[in-house]
Amino acid sequence: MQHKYRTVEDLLKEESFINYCLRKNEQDVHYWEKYIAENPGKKELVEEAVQEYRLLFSALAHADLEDQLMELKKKIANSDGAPVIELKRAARSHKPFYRRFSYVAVAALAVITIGVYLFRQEQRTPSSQRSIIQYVCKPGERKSFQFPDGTQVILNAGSEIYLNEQYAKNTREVFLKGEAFFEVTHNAAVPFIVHTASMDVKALGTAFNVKSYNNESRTEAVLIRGLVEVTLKKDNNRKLLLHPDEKVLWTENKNGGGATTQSSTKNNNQEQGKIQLVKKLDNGHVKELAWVQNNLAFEDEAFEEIAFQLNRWYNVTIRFESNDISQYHFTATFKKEKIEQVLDILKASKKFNYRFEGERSIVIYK
Amino acid sequence: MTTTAIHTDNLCWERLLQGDKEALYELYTQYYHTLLFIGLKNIHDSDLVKDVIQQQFLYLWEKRHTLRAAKNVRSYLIISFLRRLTSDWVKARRTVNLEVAWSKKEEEGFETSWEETLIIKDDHEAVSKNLMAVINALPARQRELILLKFYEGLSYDAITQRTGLTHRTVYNKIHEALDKIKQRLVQPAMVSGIQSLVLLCIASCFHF
Repeated sequence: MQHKYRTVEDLLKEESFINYCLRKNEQDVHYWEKYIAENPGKKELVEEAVQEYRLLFSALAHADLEDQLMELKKKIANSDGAPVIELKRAARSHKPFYRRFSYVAVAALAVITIGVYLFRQEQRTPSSQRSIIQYVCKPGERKSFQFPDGTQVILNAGSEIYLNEQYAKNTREVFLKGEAFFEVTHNAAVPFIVHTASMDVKALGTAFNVKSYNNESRTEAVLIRGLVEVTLKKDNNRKLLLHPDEKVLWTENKNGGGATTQSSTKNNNQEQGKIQLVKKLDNGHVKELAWVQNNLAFEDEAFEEIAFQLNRWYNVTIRFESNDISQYHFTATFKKEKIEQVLDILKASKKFNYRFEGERSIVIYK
Repeated sequence: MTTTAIHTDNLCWERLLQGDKEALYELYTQYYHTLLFIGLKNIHDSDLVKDVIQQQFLYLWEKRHTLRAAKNVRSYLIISFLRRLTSDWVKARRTVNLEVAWSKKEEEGFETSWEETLIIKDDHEAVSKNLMAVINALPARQRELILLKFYEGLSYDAITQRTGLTHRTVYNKIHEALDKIKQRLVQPAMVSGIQSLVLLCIASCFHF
């Protein structure tokens, strides 16, 4: 079998041979070194193929450089004419943001998460026969990883995702508690479905955000690209189609449980199960996705709801001594601030005080 | 990196600061592949990496009046390029990983990537020009696929995903292009080049 290589072309068509030439992975390098050692008669052929590959590679490299240099010259000529470059760039910058996501590598985190999963699974198998893949983000953490089908996921703080073992075989169904951003690998034959307590979101190849925390009464889905079908389970399985930059919100009417106050429920009822356009922040980004960029953004949200997010983001517990304060509304974006700085900034706009009781417990008072 | 190279870079840089456009293009030609392959190591999206390289040089040109003399043009270019690559949306995606990985490299200094060492410069100009002409004459699709396969080193699977073509089409088109290149390439210059190399190898074999 190893003697099937007769011409230079045979070698160039071999994927592992290109990897060997590019030193792309150790296995292939090792394989070909071994091949040469074991087949001295083929050494010449291999050397010839390597040299030919180098020629081809060089020519392609030069061709690419020429293309790119020409492009640059064009752009420079334009920029010399009038200083419009910045504007142009600003205009295009948010579009490729999502589109280009798909090719960005995720290796490191994916390996870690899968590693954790394998470990967990090993522990689990004796007790349950059906193995479940689980991804967990504790409060204060954020993770990104790739599902077996290439779908990329960013998981927000305090969230969990489960996949069943059959994932990517017949179905691509995941179960979400919390918030995640999905960049779904296109596969029309196997739809991708995110299940939450009150909403199912079905996609064919698209990018979207789903938020459904257990301790919050609201579930929302935001679509960035593509098309998704949302099923509202608590509304006779009513189905909605979301288009890019649209979102849908479902607020649970909790009987007896949860911290939802009347005012916020009332507010949300008008939006219940209706498609709305997402609001863009000043920088052109979508507020619902600020977390993906390590930003924490609120837009006219009640302090009580903001507190949920702060709890998860900073791994703290915020408690209100006064109901009035919990109904204060704030609009703000934070990036690298510490929790104290965040509270100080909020404090400057509407009056309240806070104190730490222990390392992670914060009390807000008048 | 040799001191003469640093010297040449510094001269180039000075010319750039004085508004010499050609100096910008020389730097671009000099460092394009360096930046491309470093970028591709971390971000497997060549369109994006190339775009960021363009932005980087556009920036240099626009800010040439405010730029300062650089001690080491190469590391300045690499580091600022990586910063640019991490900023914006890439940052959002993988802040921690990339920044940690790169800050480590900053300390170690950037080695020349293996891919860069593969590029034959000057010596084989004629052959290379010839090959380039053949490549540029390929139909757009074939040219693109050849670039993805043999230049970026993508697997057939990855190309299928990237282009949306079927596996079979990708395979066929690449082989077609390869045949075309081969046909036109059986040229004396290259054959003799390979022959001399082969002879050299045989000679060295006998030595051992």
